[in-house]
Formats: sequence, C-alpha cells, structure tokens
Amino acid sequence: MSSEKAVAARRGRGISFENLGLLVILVLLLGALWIAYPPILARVNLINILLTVSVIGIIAVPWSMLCLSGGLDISVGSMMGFIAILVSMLYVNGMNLFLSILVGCVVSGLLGLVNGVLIEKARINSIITTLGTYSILRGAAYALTGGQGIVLSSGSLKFLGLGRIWIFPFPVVLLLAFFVIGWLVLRYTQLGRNIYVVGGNEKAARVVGINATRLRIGLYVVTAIFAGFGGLIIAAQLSNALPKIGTGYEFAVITAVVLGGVSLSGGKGRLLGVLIGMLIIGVLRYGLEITGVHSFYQTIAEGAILLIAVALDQLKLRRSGR
Amino acid sequence: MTNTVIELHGIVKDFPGVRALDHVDFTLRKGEVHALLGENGAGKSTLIKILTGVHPRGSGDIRIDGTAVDIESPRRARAFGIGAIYQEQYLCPDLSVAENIFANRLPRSGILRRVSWRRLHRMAEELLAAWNVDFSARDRAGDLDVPQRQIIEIIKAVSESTLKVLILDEPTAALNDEEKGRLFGIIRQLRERGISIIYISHRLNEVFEISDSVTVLRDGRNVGTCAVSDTSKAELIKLMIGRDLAEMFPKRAIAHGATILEVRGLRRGAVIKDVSLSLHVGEILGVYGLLGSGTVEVGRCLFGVLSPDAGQILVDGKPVSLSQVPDAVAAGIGFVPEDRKVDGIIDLLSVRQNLTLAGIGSLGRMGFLNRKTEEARSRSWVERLAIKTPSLETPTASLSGGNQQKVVIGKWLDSKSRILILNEPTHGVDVGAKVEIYTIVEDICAAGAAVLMISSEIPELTALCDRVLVMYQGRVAGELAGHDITQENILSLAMRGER
Repeated sequence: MSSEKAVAARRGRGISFENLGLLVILVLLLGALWIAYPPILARVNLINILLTVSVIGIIAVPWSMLCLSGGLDISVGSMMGFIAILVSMLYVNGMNLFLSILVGCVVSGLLGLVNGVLIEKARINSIITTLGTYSILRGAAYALTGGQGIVLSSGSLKFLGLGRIWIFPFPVVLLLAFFVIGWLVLRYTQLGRNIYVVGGNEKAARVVGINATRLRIGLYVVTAIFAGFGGLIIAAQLSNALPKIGTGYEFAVITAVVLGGVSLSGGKGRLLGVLIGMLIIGVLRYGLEITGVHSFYQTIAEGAILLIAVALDQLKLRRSGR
Repeated sequence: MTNTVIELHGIVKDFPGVRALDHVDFTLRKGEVHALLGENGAGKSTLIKILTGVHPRGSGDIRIDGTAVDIESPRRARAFGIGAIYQEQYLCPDLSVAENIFANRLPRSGILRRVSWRRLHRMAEELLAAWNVDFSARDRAGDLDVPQRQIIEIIKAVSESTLKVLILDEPTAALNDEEKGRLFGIIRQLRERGISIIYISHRLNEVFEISDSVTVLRDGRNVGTCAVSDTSKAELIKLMIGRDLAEMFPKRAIAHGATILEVRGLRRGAVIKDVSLSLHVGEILGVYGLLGSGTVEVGRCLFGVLSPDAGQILVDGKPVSLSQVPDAVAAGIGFVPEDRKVDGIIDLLSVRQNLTLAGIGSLGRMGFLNRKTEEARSRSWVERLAIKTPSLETPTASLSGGNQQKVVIGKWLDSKSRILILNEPTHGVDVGAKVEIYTIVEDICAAGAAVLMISSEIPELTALCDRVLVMYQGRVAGELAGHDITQENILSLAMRGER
C-alpha cells in the first residue's frame, strides 16, 4: 500500500479512506438521481438538498460531539417541537422576538441540564433518560396548545426559516457556519481534544485531570439548545409552530452521525464524515421526493441506510481486530 | 509414559513485539497437582490459554495421552478433558446451583422435551452429596460466598464426565485461610479421582502445601521443573527472578536535593492505616507491599484519585490539598497507573495526542491548540524516550507494551511534572524495554525531579531505588536504604511486618 497515503489518512488531514467510501456513495447516489432526473444538478436543486437537511445538520454538529464524548441524546426531536411551541406562544402573545428566542434557549439549556445531570450524576442510562424526556417533551408540546398549531404571521421570525443571504437560505448559512465552527473546535481546541479523550478512555481522562462528567453535561446542554433552535427554524419555515415538529429528527440525526463514521461508543469519528453522511440523507430524501416516490418508501430507505451504516461500522471494527 | 496426560514440546508463541513463550516444554502426569510459577508476564497465562484453546500455539507439539493434537478452540479443549477455572467467575448469579451446573445440558422429558426440574435437582443433589458441600442444589448462586461459587465451578467442570485436567488460576486470591482449607480439600479429592491439576499461584506457601511438582516460567521460558520435595522456597524465588538486575543495570549516582514531597499520617478506610514518607529531589523511593497492603492506594491518594480520611501532604514544604486530580497536576505531580490499558493510554488516539494529554494546557492560548508546537513537542519526546512508532499519528494501541509505557511516562514529562508516581512501571514490558524505562527514570531524577516507584518487582526496587518503604497491612513496616535493600529484607518485612 502507498505509505504516504496511509500516513495522510492517519494524520487526519484531508479525506481519510472511510470518508472516501462515503463520498463514493454520495456521488453514486447523485449519479443515479441524475439519470432519473437530470435537472437535479441545477443550482436551485443542490441548494434545496442542503435546505432539506439543514436542521438535521445543525443538530448533528453538537450531537456528534456528545456522541464522541460517549453520550447519547434521543430527546432532540421532541425538544424541537417543545421549544418551537414555547417560543411561538411567547412571541405571538407579544413578547419581543429576541427575548422569546432567548427564553427558548435558556429553557432548552435547562432541559439539557436535566438530561445531563440524570445521566452523569444520577447515573441513569443515557438512552433510558432521554427516552423519558423524549416522551415528556413531545407530550408537553401537544399539551401546551391542546394539539393545535400556532400560526406565525410576522416576518421577523420567518426570516429564521425563509430568509436568504445572497443565494443561500438562512438555515443553510447556519448549517455551514456551525459545521465550520464544530470542525475548528474539534480540531484546534483543547475542548475538542478533551471530547475525544473522554470518549476514548474516561478513566485515563480522569488520571490527567479532565472532568468527564462536567464536559458531557455541558454537551447535553449545548445539544438541547441547538435542538430547540432547530425546532424554531422548522416552525419558521412552515410559518406554523406545530406540536409534531421534530418528529423523527432524532432518527435522522443518529443516521447522519453514524453514517459519518462516528462510533456510538465514543472517541472515534470526524465531523467531515458527518457532513457527508448528512448529505447522503439529503440527496436520498430530496431525490425520492422530487422523483415522486411516496414518503413511505423514503422512511424504508432511511432505515435501510442506518442499518447498512451500522453494519459497515462493525465490519470495520472487526477488521481492525477489536 | 502411560501416566502422562499432557506433554508440551517446544511451544513458541509470539505476540506483536513480544515472544510470550519461547520453546516451552511441560509435562503433566496423571493425578498430580502441578504448580506453575512465574512473575507477571512470565508466560503463565499464555501457556494456559494455549492449553484451553483460547490462543492457537505458534509452533511446537501438544500431546494428550500420547497423541499429537491441535487445541484450536475452547470447545475442543473441553472435548479433550481440559477444564479451567479463572479468577473471574462465570456463574449466573440469578440461577440456582443446579441450573448453573447443568446449564448447557438440562435434563429433558416428555414429547415436548420440556425441562425436568425434578430430575435436574436430583442429579445436582447427588453430585453435591458426593462432594460433601454445605449448600443445596436449589440455592441461588449469587447468594453463596466466593469459595462456594468456586466449588460450583469445579463441580461443573468435573461433572462434564471426561475431565482429565483442571486448571486453577490463582484460586485462593480472594479466599481466607478457612476457605482455602476447604478448597484444598476439594483439590485433594480431585487428585484421588485421578484428575491432574495445574495450579497457578504467586503464593509459595501454597505451592508447598498442595502441589506435587512445580514448573517455573521466566520471560517465556521454562527455567525449571522439579518435584516439590526436591526444592526450597529460596530456590524457587531465585528461579522466578533470575539474574540479579543490579548486575544488568548498575545504579547511577545522583545528588539528592531538598525535600520535595512529604506525607504525614496518611489514613484511608481500612486500607491505609498510617503512612508517612518523604521524597527528595533526585531520589527514587521504592514502595513495596503484598496485594492488599495499601501501596496502590497510597499512590492514588497522592494523586487525588482517592481522597484520604486524614493526613497531611506537603509539596516543597507547603501543605497542599489533593482532593482532585487537577490539584495534584497543578502541584507538579504525575501519575503512571498500574494498568496502562485501564487508565494510562487512550488507545484510539495517536501517539502525538497521548503524549500531550497532560501538558496540553501549555500548547496554545485561550483553549486553542497550536498544532505545530504539539507536533514538535511530541516528536521530541518520541526521540528522547526512543519510542518505537511508525509515526506520530499511529494509534497508541498498536505500540508494544514498553513503548506504550514510555508514552504514558512521556505525557508527564511533557507537562513538566516534578514528582512522578510510577505504579508498576514495567508491568507487561519485555526485558529490553525494562532497562530503557529504568534509564528514563534515572534521567528524570538527574533532571531535578523525584520518583515514587510502587512496584511488586523486587529486582527493580533493589537495582534502582535509593530507599525502599515496605508496607504491611496499611502501615509502613520499615524503610530500607543502601545495602539493606535486599530481596530477603523486603520480603520478610512485607510478609511478617518485621525484619
């Protein structure tokens, strides 16, 4: 094998082998779609693909970090719905837009803190804990409005979802910005290194003085805030805050992260992979949508992709002899 | 020849970077208790794993009852009549004794092949009666004590009709004297039935009490097999330890400076009862004690991993509170744990990332890392410590034990620790790397730091240390210096609490 390439891969510079495989899948998928529907490569369609997955991606950034550090949060979808409803209620009842968004961030942060403390301090399994908050928050979202949506007529909140900066929709701008920030944090900061260290070997982290508990609780908080914000974006896109907002997003986020090569047991994976994983989901969703395949089949396809991703991950583990 | 059960000839087993077994011959006779002795890493467990089909042998012959065989899986080993009982237990605590014994062959009856509980319990009660034990087949396994559970495992192994050889790996590690007596009773019963036993233990007294013959392994070689009646403890110790390390590694004279660390009246629970010590710049202070004497806990207290109940710790003459690891790191203390795989290295991360783990705070500003500085610094450690690695980006897990250990030590050098607590620094490290690590330790001291070396390997204490504290049941039983640091002095303090 070409040792230079192997070294480059190990160095974590540029695109590693695993990500190359993902990229090939992405290109093949786009190619297949192009045969079925040539206009897919038009600029508007490419931007729409990004828009389709923008909220998934925005949440996937902190979610990947949480996962890398050894945590899991499946309450993100419900968090989206709950915060969307909460902020919209405050806003339509006359609260200042920024103030209501701020309240949303604080509340979602506190809810993330609850997740984190239950998991890290009370030592309840992360899946069970966030499965609990998943159910509570979804129920709360419906209960707050009696199941109704809240129509958002004013323009300033709508900018979150429908605004444009140059040719890019605002959510896409946020998506790209957050990915760049996340990449910088993971690669160039001590915080990022600590995330890998804690996820790689929590005991060894303790022996160099890194507080794993505090780090992960912080990541639960950040993940919750991002999820709540994602819910707002969807509400703004729909101009209607529905209590069902975010349903299934936990699934999509997990798929993107796992597909991107982040190990669910933590310590291993890169944000670039998650970006490609997210794009694969985007191409699949948008492609099936635009070629008129019923959404039933989209759901099936996404489930299959998740299983394939996990199976590939296991194969890789086994081949590396662990 | 007819009374030979197992015959190993020229067994070689290599692991990456280490030859674990080097042309080992081993003969086990029918109905004998054969003790297998050796220090950590001498190759005992590898040999056992080859016999039980966990590892394939590299080369060499295995004969069972005179026929050459391959033991390619644990299942095959069982078919050959080789059973093993490990330190960890493999019982299901929520199942009954009877269910545990017959787990894989519950008696069935009727057209539906349903489990016949009555027959199961009758079979189990018969077995238990034959072994003269004090619990019933219907007891829940989890409610029994450790030796009782051990006996269940033995009975389970024996009841698989064909058992010829039973391997016991440190079976008395968790037993008190009375329980040990019960276990030895069972072992004698097994011997009377013609079952051969391979008995692994660190405790020489037990070897003389229970076994007929003994084999000593050292550095993967069989350095001696003989009848127990033909040997003495002193001779066995000499065989286990081999050449005096002091000959191989002459001690360097390093000037000692001021007291850098002082501990007064340290106490914690029932493990550390009263420990005081002082450590000077340039000094290597050894700490020795048998399992459970509190040496490991003292190291952990001094690094803030465990918090003491009482006692004072002074660094540079100033009292410090080491309630958390960051306090200890801030005080300039570094810590190399006894098992680097558990809390020493992060195996997924690269050599570079592991080397800068502790000193990462000085790698940039405001939480940002300077990658160039990081690479330069880790490269310099790789060169200075002679860490053999294909590149800085190699995952640390793929290095050999000795090189992993150098990485673990290197991260504390990178963070400029002045007090290094080394816990079993050469555990699982081959001889060549051992000497390299000793040189590093002396270099550290010569550069103005101090080392507290907690070790169970007496040769390295006698060869390397300026003073040795010996602990016995949570207290410092004595301090040895200069020519008094001898194996006999250390062992007698550790075993009896007095010289």
